Amino acid sequence: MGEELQSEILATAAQEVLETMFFAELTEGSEWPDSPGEPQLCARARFRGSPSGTLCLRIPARTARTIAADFLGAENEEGLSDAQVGDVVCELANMICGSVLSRLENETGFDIFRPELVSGGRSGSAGQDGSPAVSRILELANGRVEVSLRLDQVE
Amino acid sequence: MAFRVLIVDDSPAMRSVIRRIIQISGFDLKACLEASHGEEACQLLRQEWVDVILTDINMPVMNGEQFVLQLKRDDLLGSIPVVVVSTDATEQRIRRMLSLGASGYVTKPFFPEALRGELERVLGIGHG
Repeated sequence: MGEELQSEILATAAQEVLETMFFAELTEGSEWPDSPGEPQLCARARFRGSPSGTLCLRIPARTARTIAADFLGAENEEGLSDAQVGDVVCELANMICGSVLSRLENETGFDIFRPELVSGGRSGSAGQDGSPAVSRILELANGRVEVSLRLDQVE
Repeated sequence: MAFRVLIVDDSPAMRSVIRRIIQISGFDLKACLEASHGEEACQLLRQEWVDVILTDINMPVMNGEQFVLQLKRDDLLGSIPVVVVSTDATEQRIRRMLSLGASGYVTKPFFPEALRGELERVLGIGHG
């Protein structure tokens, strides 16, 4: 499957999840602004299937807190714990990953391992082993989210 | 008639959201119980009766497949309808879960109406 199609599937899946479950309004983003020191959350979901691979998600911490409040129906986002925000970011990665894989692998099953928060840096770390990764940036009302996908090479 | 629902999911955030979505969907909810995996759900069901169960698939300790299988082997608990709530929308997975005994399947992401509709369908109720 070509990278262009993977990228389109990635954007469509992320948009569907964010609009349906997180009540977000989205526009297509282009580049991740260079904001040194801005805290970010990165979640990584590994999956096993045909093919296997990794999906990573990167989001500014303040944006993550807002969408977590929207997701959980919390009136005061400052009242959420870091663990709650992290759990929501992992669940967002899980849902986007499942939505992507259901489009990529609709004939065979797959397993998504529980997403985990990883230390900051580029979400493009989905391709940290040197294999190519496709990524898309989506603009939210109060920030942005980047999702990237790396499919393992089939030997 | 109001219903007792058990939500089985290893994500506290997802359990919280499903509970909230059930409430805002207008489904007639009497009580909502929660468990973080299949084994915990089985323990809870020895003490509490519920009318319907919503379960994830990928969970630690006892996953959704194992949970449904164990539930359906139980003479008493096997009659409780189970709706799978999962990100996996592949035909293979849906067929597999239904063949194990699940009564319904909702794929994430979903709208409140979809979850309510599936709950009412497996419970045999509907709008006049």
